[in-house]
Amino acid sequence: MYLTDLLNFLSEIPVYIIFIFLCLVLSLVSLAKKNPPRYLPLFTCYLFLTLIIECIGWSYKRAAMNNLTLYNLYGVVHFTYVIYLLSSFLQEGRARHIFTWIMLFYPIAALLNIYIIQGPRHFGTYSYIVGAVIVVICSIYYFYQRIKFPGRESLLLDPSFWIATGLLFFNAITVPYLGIVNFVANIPHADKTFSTINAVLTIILYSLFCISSVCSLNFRKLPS
Amino acid sequence: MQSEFPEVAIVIITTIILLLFLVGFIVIMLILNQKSRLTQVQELRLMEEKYEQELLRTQLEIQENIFGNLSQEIHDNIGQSLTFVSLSLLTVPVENGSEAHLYIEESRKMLQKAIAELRDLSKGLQTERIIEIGLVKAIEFELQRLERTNLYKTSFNFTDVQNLMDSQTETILFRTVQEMLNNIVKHARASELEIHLTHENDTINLEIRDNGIGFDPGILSEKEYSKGLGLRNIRKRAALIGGTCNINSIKNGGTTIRITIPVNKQPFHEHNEESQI
Repeated sequence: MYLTDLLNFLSEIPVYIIFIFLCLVLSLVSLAKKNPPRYLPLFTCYLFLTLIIECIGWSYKRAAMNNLTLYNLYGVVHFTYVIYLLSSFLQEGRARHIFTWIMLFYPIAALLNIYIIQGPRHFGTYSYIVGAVIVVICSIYYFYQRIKFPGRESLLLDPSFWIATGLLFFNAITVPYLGIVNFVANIPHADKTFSTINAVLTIILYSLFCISSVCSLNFRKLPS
Repeated sequence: MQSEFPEVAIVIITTIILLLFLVGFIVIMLILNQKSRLTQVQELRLMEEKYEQELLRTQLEIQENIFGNLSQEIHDNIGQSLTFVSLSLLTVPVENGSEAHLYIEESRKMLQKAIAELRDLSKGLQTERIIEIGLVKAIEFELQRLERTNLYKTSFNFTDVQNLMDSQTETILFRTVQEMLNNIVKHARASELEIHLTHENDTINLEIRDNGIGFDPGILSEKEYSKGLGLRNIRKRAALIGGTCNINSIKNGGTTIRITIPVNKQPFHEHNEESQI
């Protein structure tokens, strides 16, 4: 009886949560290797936090509770960390400096928006759009640098390439529809379709993160 | 079920489009990165070549300065001192025909020979003199020096190459000949050597052959190559005047080194107008 319940529960777990879990496992394996990349310890913590948030968010949804406050707060942490992560991949000191300042100001602005302008029980679309646009700009700048200063290591073996690709792709695509999510929330079919597309995008994002973790198992940055 | 169909179709189509975009993006990034890497490698190679040429040019300039100083030192100091000793020997109060007189005469002859050799050496080191007499005469002069040792039988065949090279190219080519001759004296254990200086269409060919012990260019170790510097310098010098160098050698079958310089293509001069050797 318990086994049947457990199997039923497991079958209900969304696929994207399984991908996040897989990504976390791969990240932990990479971390256990000798000389892991410098970003990896914090990245693993970020994945762990993401997994917990997604599990809580899913359980809230199952219990028909509002999980937007949770996602709004998580969004602040997520964008702050992701901007930090991408800026750490940049080679040019000035750009890194600018993105570090943005990273410091973003959480303040986002929290002000969530608690004062839009309210915590609505999805913080302004802070999401701003965060996603910053991430997109930072990713584009990263790719620009990779073309301008290609380095000696192969792009396909570089974990930062896969992370930046995932973030650029996810954020560039989610901005248009998550920006208007509050307007379409009451349209029954649209909401469901958007949720499914969002799940697909999340799966793609964490698949690319998985590839980056696999790459970091063998990747050693050559001295320039 | 029917009402859900369009949603499923939308999701599937969107997913396929997204994946196509993603793959396209990755492929484009890879192509751009690869292109950029190739450009970078080419730029790096060009920089290395330029740096090597600069380095060699500086080395040659330093070498020419040292040769000039050495030549002056030999001529002004050592030569003068030996001449003075030779003259002093003349004033030694000994009877003609005595044993001591014979020894002194013998010593004077040896001194005269040493003075003549030093003078030749001094001339070979003077860049101005090489420019003055030209490449052909300078090579002839070097071969005569070797002939005088009675260890080598030499021959020199040449066609008219005058006015085909400027003085800098001639100097570099002459120093290359000196390096090759030096290698023959030091390593080849040869008894005969030939030099051919010819002009064909748009190229000048310089070929030096010896009948020495030779070597296997394939197994010439990196250590010997870097330690001796001779062969590497010959190649570098040839490259500096826009030429190529081919080395053919057979174990116990002699060595042939051939340098080919295009008459109209001497990049050394193009970017070397300011610094004169």
